[in-house]
Amino acid sequence: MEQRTISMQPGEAVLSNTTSVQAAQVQAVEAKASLPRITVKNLNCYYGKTQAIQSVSLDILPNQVTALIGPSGCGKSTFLRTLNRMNDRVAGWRVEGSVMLDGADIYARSVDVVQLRCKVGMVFQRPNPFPMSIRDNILYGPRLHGERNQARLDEIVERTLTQAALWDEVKNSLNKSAFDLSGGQQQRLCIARVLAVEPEVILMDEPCSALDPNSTFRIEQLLAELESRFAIVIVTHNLQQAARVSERTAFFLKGELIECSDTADLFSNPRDKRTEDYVQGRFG
Amino acid sequence: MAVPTTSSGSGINSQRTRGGSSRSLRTDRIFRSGTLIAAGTAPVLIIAIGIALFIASKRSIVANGLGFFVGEKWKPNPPTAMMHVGNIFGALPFVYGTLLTSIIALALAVPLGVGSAIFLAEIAPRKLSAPLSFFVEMLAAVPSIVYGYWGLSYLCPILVGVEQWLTNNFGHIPCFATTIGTGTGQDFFAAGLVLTLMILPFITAVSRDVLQTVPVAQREAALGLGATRWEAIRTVVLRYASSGIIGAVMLGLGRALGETMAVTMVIGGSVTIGHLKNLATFSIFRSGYTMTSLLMDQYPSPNSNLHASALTQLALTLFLITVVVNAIARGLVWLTAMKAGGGSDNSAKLKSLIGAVIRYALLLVVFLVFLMQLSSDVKTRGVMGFLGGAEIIVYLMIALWVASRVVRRSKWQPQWRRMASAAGIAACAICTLVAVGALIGLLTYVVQHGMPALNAGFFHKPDPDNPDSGGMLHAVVGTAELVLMAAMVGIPTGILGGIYLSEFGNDRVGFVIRFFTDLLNGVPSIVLGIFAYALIVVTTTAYQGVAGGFALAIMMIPTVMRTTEELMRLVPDSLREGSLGLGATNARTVWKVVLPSARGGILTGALLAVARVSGETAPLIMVGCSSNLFHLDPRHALASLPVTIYVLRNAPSNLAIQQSWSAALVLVALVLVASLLARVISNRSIAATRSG
Repeated sequence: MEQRTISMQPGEAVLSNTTSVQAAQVQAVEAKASLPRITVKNLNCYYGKTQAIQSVSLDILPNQVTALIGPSGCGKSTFLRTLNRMNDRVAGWRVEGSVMLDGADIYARSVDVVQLRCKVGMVFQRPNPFPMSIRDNILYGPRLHGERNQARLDEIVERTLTQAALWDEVKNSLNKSAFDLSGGQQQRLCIARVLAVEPEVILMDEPCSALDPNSTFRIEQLLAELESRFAIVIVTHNLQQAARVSERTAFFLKGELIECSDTADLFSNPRDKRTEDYVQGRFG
Repeated sequence: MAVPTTSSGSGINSQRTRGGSSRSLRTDRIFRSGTLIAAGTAPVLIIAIGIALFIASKRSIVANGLGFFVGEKWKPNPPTAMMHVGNIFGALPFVYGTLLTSIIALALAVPLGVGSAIFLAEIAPRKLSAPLSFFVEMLAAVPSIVYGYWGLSYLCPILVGVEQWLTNNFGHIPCFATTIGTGTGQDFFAAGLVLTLMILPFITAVSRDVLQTVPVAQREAALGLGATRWEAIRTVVLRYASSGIIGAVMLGLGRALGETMAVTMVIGGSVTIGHLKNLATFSIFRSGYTMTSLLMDQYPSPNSNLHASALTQLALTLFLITVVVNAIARGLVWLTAMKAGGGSDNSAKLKSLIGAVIRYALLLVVFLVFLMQLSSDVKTRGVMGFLGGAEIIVYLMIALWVASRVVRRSKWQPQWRRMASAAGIAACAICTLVAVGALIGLLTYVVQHGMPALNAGFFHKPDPDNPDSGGMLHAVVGTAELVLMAAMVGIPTGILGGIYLSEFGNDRVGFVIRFFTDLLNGVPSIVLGIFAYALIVVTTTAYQGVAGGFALAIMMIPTVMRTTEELMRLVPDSLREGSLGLGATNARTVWKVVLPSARGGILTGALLAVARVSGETAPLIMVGCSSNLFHLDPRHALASLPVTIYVLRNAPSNLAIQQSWSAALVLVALVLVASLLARVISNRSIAATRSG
C-alpha cells in the first residue's frame, strides 16, 4: 500500500542529487496520504421523519478504494450521496453531524455546493450519458468551468478517455452520439467525464449493476488503475466485487455502520456476528 | 376482486374447449370490427373533410386559380350584382394576418410558457407546483369566446394608450409604426396578445409533461459534474427535452392558427397586408383579418355563390396548413418519447445548427432595430441621440455581455455562475408569475362582471316582443341540448374507438388511427363547422341544430377516444389474462373486466369532451345555429350561451351586456367544474388501478 501512495516519476529519484530533499518530499507526501480525505463524524440523516443513517463515523483514505456493502435499503447509497450533497435535491432531506473534506465541513453554510461537486465526482448506477456527442460529454464539465482553449480541450478528451480505457474504441468517432455506445462503453464514458473535472474523490453508486460480466471486468480493471490517483468510494451489491477491488470495506445495516476494516480482514475474520452472517451469505 | 367477475363470465363459456366454438369466434370478430369502425371515424372524417371542402371550393379554384394565394385584394361583388365579373378574391392578406398574429403569440407565449414549465417541473416545490399545474391545465379549457370577450372589453381599451406610447417612442421601428389609427385598440397586436393567453396554458402544460419525462439521472449527472442548478436545466434537461418542447410549441401554433372567436373579437376586421415598399405597413397596430376571422365575418352571409366557394377554399387552405403543422408536432413529441425509451439521437448537429441560425437571426434583427432607433434619434437630437433611453439599454446589455465574458475567466467565476443560476431561476419564477397572474386577472374580471346579472332574471325565457327585458334560459337550454346531441354521438364512438386502440391497436392500423385522431384533434373548430354546414345544412336547407350538434360531436371524438385508450391501458394485463384464461371471449373480457376497471377513465374522457365543446362558438355560427327564441326543435337553429355572448357583445342594452357576462361566467364555471370533476375522477381511478 505504501508504495502505491508515492506517486512520482520513476526517473526523478535517480537523477536527483539532493536525496535528502527527495526523502523529505516523500515523507510529506506520505504524511498527507495517510491523512483521511473525508472524515465523517456522527452522521445522522433523515428523509422527512424516517432516519436513513444513524450516527455513522467513517474515514475515507486517499489513493485507495473503499467499498460500501450491505443489504438493500441499508443506507449505503444514501451515505454515498451525502458525500457530495446530491441529496440536497430531495424534499425533506436533513443532515446532522459533520462531513469534513480535507478538513472543511462540506455542510457548512459558506460552502459552494457546485465547487464541492467538482472535487467529489460521482458515477451513477446506470450509465447516464448526455444526449450529445462523446466529445461534448467529456467536455461538459471543463466547459462549465470556463475552459475555452481548443488545444487544452482536445488534450482533456484524449487524456480522460485514455484513463478510462475507452480511447482506442472511440477515437475515430468522437462526434458520434454517446447513445450509440454500448452500456459498458457508456459507463466508461461517464467515468471519463468525471475525470475531466479533475476531482479528488470519486463516488461510484453500484457502477456495474447494469452491465454484463465482461464490461464489469473492464470497469474493475479501470478502478485498479485509478486508485493510485484518487480516493474512490464504491457502493456494491456484489461481495466478490468488493473483495476484488477495495482495500477497505465498510458494512452497513439498517442505516448503521456495523464494521469497517481492511477488506481482507473484514471478509476473513469479521469482528461482528452480523458482518459474518452477511459476508457468508446468510442474509441480504 | 377480479375473480367473481371473470368466473361469472366463464360460466357461460365454460363448455368451450381450446379451439373455441365458432360462435365465440364470431362474437370476437364482430366486436373487433365494431370497435374498428368506431376508431376508423377519425381517418374517415379527416379525408371526408378534405374532400367536402374541396368540392365546395371547386368553383373558386376554377375561377381564381393560383391568384387566390398571391392576390392582395378581397372584393366580393355586392349581393345585388348580377355578374361574376368584378369579383376579386386574393387570400394573401388573411394568410398574412394569421401568420402575424401567430408569430406575435408564439414570440410571447413560448418564453413565458417554457419558463413556467421549467419552474413547475424543475424548480417549484411539489406543494406549489401541483396546484399551479392543475390551475394552468384547467385554464386550457376556458372557452375562446371568453378570452375574446375579455380582450374586447378590458384589454383593447388599455392597449390604446400602450400602443400610442410605443408609437411615439419607437415609431421608426416598422412593427410599431401606426399608419391607420383605429383608436379602439383592436388590431393584430391585441389579437396576438389574446392568442398568447390562450396558447400559454397549453404550451406550459405540454412542456411540463415533456420535462417530467427527462430522467432524474440526467440532472444528477450534470450536478455531479459541478453544474449549477440552472446550468443543469439549460444544458442538459432542456436539451434532452428539446424535441418534445418544439412539439409542444408546434401544437400551440396549430391552435393559434385555427383560433377563431378570441381573434375575431379583437382584430378589428379589415383587409390589411404589409408592403415592402413601405415598411410602416407592417405595423402590428393595424386592424386586420386572420383567415378564421374573415370566415367568421363573411361565411354566414356570402354575397354570391362564388364568394361562398372562395371562403370555403380559404377554410380548405387553413385545414391543410393545420394538418401539416400538427403532423410535424406529433412526430416531434413521439421522437422525444422514443428517445426516452433509449433510442439514439443523431440530430444533434442539425439542432445546434438551427439553434445558431436562430440566434444570429435574432441578433441581426436586434441590431437592425437598434440602428433604426439610433439613426432617427441622431436625426432629431444630434449627438445627444446617442444617449437616448433605448440606446443606453443596449449599451448596458453589451456591457453585461462583455462583463460575463471577462468574469467567466476570472477568479470570480464561481460567484458569477451562482448569480447567473439565481437569475435564471428567478426569470422562470417571473414567467410563472406573469402567466398565472394574467390568467387569474382574466378569471376575476369574468366573475366581477358576471355576478351582478346572475339572478332569477337570467334564467327567464326571453320575451320576443320586448327584447330588452333580457333572459337567457333559451341559451342555457340550447347549450344543454346541443351538448347532449353531441355527446350521444361523440361519446359512444369515442369509447368504442378507444377500446379498439387499447385492445387491438398495437399494430400499424392502430398507429395510423392514433395519428389521424391526433390530427382531427388539431383541426380548427371553424373548419368542422363549415364541414357540417356543407354536409347537412346545404343538402337539407335546415337542421341547423343537428348540424351544430354534429360538429361538436366530431370535436368530442378524439378527446374521448384518446382518454379512454390511455386509461384502459392502465388496466393490468393480468386482469385480461385472468379472464381469457378462464375461457372468456375477448368481447366479454373487455365488457365485463376491462371496461368496468377503466370506468373512471372513461367518465373522465367524457367530461373533458363536454368541457371542450360546451364553449365552442365558431362551428355553431358557421352552420347558422343561432337564435334568440326559446325552443327545443333541433331541426331549426338553437340558441346557445357562447353564440349569444358573441351576438350580444356590442348590444346597446345595458342588461344584455350584463347578462352576456353572466353567460360567460356560467360557461367558465361549467367548464371548470367539468375539468375539476374529470381530474378528481381520473386521479381516483388511476390510484385504484395501481393499488390493485
